[in-house]
Amino acid sequence: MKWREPRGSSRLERSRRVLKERKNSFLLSLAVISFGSVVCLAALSEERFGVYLALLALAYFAASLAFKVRRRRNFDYLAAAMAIVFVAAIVSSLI
Amino acid sequence: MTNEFGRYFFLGLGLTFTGTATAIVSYFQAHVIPFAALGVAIVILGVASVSLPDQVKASGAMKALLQGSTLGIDPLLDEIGERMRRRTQMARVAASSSSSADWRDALSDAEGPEPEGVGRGEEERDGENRRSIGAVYLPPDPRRSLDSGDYEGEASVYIPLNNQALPVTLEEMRAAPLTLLDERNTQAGIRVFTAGAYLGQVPEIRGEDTSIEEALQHLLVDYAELCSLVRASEIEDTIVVEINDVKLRPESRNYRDFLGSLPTSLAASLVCVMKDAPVMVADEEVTPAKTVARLSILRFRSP
Repeated sequence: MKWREPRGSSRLERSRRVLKERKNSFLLSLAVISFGSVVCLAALSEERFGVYLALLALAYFAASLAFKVRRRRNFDYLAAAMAIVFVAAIVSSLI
Repeated sequence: MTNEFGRYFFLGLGLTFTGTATAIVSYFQAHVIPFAALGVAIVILGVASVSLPDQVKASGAMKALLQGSTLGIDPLLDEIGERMRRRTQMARVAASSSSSADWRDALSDAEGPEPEGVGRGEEERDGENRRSIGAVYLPPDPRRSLDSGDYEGEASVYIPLNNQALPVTLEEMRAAPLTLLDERNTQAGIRVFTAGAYLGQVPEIRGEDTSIEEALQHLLVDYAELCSLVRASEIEDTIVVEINDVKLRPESRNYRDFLGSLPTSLAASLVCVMKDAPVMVADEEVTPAKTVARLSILRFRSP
């Protein structure tokens, strides 16, 4: 009994199947949001590095909350690091 | 969690190194802040990729729960198997004591005709295990609620006890006893409950826009953590399900023989709930890499 691809299977269908994997969707969304943020801030001629870091942290939190992917370790060290970076960026902009 | 280093790990490693180099060069030498931020974004993406396991390993708690869900039904399946073996042996003894002209008729009468798709046994073909499963997965009765107390509001499984043709109506199968009656009764079948009995209550699975493949992915990969990927193909009244990288095989041999492997059993329960129609596991191939099951949706004439 061999697996048969559904009728109408095409490159688009195969791409949809790849994206259906939550990990792939998470990485793609994170890339789009992060790069889009950097591009938008650059277009606005933003020169404060802290602003870029804060927005990248928010992008990571947004993607993580939306997709809730499983990780190798139970504790998300990257989220903790991004939280510290975010707070440091906010504090440095206030000082 | 797994310690395997696969494509996500190496992708992440590459992105991390690239992003670090970009960020350092852009910030300290070129003094271009947007490029430095781009480098940091690449580093974040790389670290996120490294943190993703290539294969999700089922948690210990989920493994224990799934093993427990199959354990409760094992003694009943043992008894069913034993009863069927006794009946077959008695038929053979009765047949052998008859005349040579009559023993074939006696054996045929005792065992009944071989209905289409019903059989139980393993065939070795090119090193693969392929089996037919005779059980029929029944959807919950929409007229009954879970609180009715008569076990009609849950999805159940009808197991034929003789090699007879299946009952002609869904109601006949639903009316099958929930226990094994005295052996002197000619009990045609029994109804049992599996781990998928309450799947009809899961809202994510019963969403109107949810396809069977998406629902199976939610159930088997995201919730039960049984496998890495599920694909489903629906052709008229047949659904072919491919389950890749099965992580757990907690079911006993009896469970596999009567109901199919646990992932297949859950898939059949889910399909019968979504289609609101009885489903039979017509065929199942189990290999170390994947399990492929063919589910047939049964259409019965109205009583």
